[in-house]
Amino acid sequence: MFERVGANFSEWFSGALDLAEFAKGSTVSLAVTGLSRAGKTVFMTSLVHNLLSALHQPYRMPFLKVVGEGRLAAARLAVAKSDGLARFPYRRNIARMAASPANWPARTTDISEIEVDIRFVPAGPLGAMLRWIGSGPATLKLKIIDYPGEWLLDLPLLDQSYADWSRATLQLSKSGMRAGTARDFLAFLADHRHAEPASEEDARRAHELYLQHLRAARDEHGLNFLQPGRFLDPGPLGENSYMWFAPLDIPDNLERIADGTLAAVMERRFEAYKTEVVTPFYSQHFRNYSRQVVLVDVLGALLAGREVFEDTRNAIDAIMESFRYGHSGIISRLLQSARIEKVLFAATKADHVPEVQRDHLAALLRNMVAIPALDVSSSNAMFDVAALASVISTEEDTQEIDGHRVQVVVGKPVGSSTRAKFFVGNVPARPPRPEAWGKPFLNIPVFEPPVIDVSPIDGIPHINLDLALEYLIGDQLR
Amino acid sequence: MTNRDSRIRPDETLRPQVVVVETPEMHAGIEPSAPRIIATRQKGRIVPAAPVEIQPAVPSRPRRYSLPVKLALTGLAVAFCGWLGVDLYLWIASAFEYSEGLGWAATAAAAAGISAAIAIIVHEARSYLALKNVEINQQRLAMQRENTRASDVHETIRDVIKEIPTDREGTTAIEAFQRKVQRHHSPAQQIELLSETVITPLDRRAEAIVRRASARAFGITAISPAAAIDVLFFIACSIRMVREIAACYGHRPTALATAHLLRRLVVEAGKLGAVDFAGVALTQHIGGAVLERVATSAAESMYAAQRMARLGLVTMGMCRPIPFRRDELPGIFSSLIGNLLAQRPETGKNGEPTSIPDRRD
Repeated sequence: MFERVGANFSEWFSGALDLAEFAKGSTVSLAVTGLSRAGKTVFMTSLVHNLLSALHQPYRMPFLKVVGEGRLAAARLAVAKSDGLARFPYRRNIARMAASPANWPARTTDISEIEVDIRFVPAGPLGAMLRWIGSGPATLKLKIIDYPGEWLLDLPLLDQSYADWSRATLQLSKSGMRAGTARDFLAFLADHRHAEPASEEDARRAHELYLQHLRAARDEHGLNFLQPGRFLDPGPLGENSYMWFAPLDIPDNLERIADGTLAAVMERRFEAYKTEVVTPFYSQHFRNYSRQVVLVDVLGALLAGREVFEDTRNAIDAIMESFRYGHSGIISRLLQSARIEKVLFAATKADHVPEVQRDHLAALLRNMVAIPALDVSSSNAMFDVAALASVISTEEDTQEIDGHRVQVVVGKPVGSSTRAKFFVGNVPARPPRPEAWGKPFLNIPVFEPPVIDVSPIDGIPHINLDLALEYLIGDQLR
Repeated sequence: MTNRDSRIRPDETLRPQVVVVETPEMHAGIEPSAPRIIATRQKGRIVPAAPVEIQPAVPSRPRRYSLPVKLALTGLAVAFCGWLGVDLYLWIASAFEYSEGLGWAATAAAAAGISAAIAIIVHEARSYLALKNVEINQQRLAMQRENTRASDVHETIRDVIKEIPTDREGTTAIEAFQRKVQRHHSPAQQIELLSETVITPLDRRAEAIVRRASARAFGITAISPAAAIDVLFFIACSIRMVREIAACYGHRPTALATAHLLRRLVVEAGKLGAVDFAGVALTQHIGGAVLERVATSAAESMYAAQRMARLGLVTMGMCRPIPFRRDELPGIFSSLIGNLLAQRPETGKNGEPTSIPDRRD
């Protein structure tokens, strides 16, 4: 009798007010970004698939504590909202990866989101107390947003004038590999000085040539530090007249750009771009993403040679500015009271590197990002670095090369009928010295995804995806 | 490495000479470092291996109460709160009956009292939970030294550093640790580095506290006229030492935290006490006559000081965020006498050493 009354009371109490939901339920926005070819779309797809599969196959995500400790009650896709961002095409992507012949999903060009509801049993003293009074599981609404990392390259523009930006950009365009891809653009600038009368046709032509240069630099050489970022990935902006600008050859001693000149038109559009494109992205979207993961193809940058590596480092430097609000720079003004709490820099495609060298991949990225191994007292966002593979598409093997038995990875290149072994060479833990750089190797194989079940039952094999997720949202699942 | 002239005469061996180091020729074939793709005849897609089944770390199960006990405890809490509430209400109502001003004054007094009580409870609970967190960290670190990946130990280290006092010395030590630690360090190396760089200075402060408490125990036992005063003073001195050591490691020694520490101290010291008791009994049995002759107040004082030092070291072990390794454990001798003989460090405002003495004992 007494037990029954107690049980009824407990049931009534937990039903009347879901205390666990009240105390531990929350919404977290996790933004996934990175430079092109870093693997954002695959990361998102694998993350969602593995979360949905975690209840059936917990051993795929053992280091995500809510899974490892058996506290996960359910994970399911939330219904898409009509007023939100475009929905991330998870089902289409997983179908493509699971198809035969398999292929990788199309690359990210725009911002999109997907929401996963994770129901979990709270841990810790509060969780124990909630369980004690018979409260049910809590729900974490995990919003995962995918946006091109190139958009973050635009933050430094907010602090620059058009003349300063033009000078810096042209100096960069005339050096190294860029000089080749920018040849037509530079020839155009030689014929069209900044002080010539404004012409819509010339402005448009300059923009098109500059855009061609940026595309060639990205696609042919794998360069990343290409500003403005929206030129290559305009997202929902499409073709807007205020984006038709390009850097011009502005003399160092010029104090003010004269009205009615080509430079004045470009300057006006540059300022409009900052006001209409860059600032709104930070104030409307970026400030809401309290947890972010920045994916970097460190291996690609390393193998592509010194210039690409240095260029990637510059791009990461520019991206880092978006998370360094501790020194009250421009990002503090844009974010106002909002704070990016945690940022994970992840070196992707770790499955292309034999296991013995994977730690070097993360160490190399840490050196590129230039953050201490254990930052605990910074007023900026919390940073960490990891090496991961969203999908393991290779197996470990050995191969004899020049009389030496070396570690290689083996996979099936997309479009090929036979497997190939990939020897990655030595992955250093620190950026190589100038004399240690070898010949650029741009032919990194693209291996087919492994055999994957399209149903969220068995998950997708990965490297360190669970550790990354634990770092990013683990505290919300306690 | 070759010598230019390998036939050096015996009388020339000690003369200045240049040894030429041969640079090995770089054969492209010997150093296979260039990346490459090697075609194979193997066919078929990569089939992922089934994940390894990992047994989750099972946390120690909290004590479970049956439903009647839960209801009984809830009932007691409701009764106590209800009694307080009703009593307060009646008190305020009676004040209002007397006059409205007095009623509002009583309401304000009650509100202030309740707020203060809540603040104290929150403060106590926070300090207690922080102390419990240290115990959890100690367990995790003891386990992680051997079994965990380098990246996993970081969370625990962050937790530890969060509790470290943020004075100038502490901040400098934390910064030094951050400069030293590298991701490729193994968990054991990271913990060792943390212990050496950040925790060791705190150990020095704690040892200074233990020395002071031992000296007090020694002094008062030597001069006190009655055994009861010895006991009272010893207890007061112990509590003070426990609180100071806890504060030294960054804990807030509130009443609840101190009570918890003392409870653990009694258990830990009890284990040591049993061993000591056996030792003392044996000594008295063997050389009782001699001891009786030399059992002066000075000897008792020494004994009291030794007990205090031992309690202090046990407290250090409980409060220290990282468990002592065998070679780090300070001994009674080093804490009591060794450091007294060592050069005395300059002391700061609160009697804390401002420089870190070398650990050589």
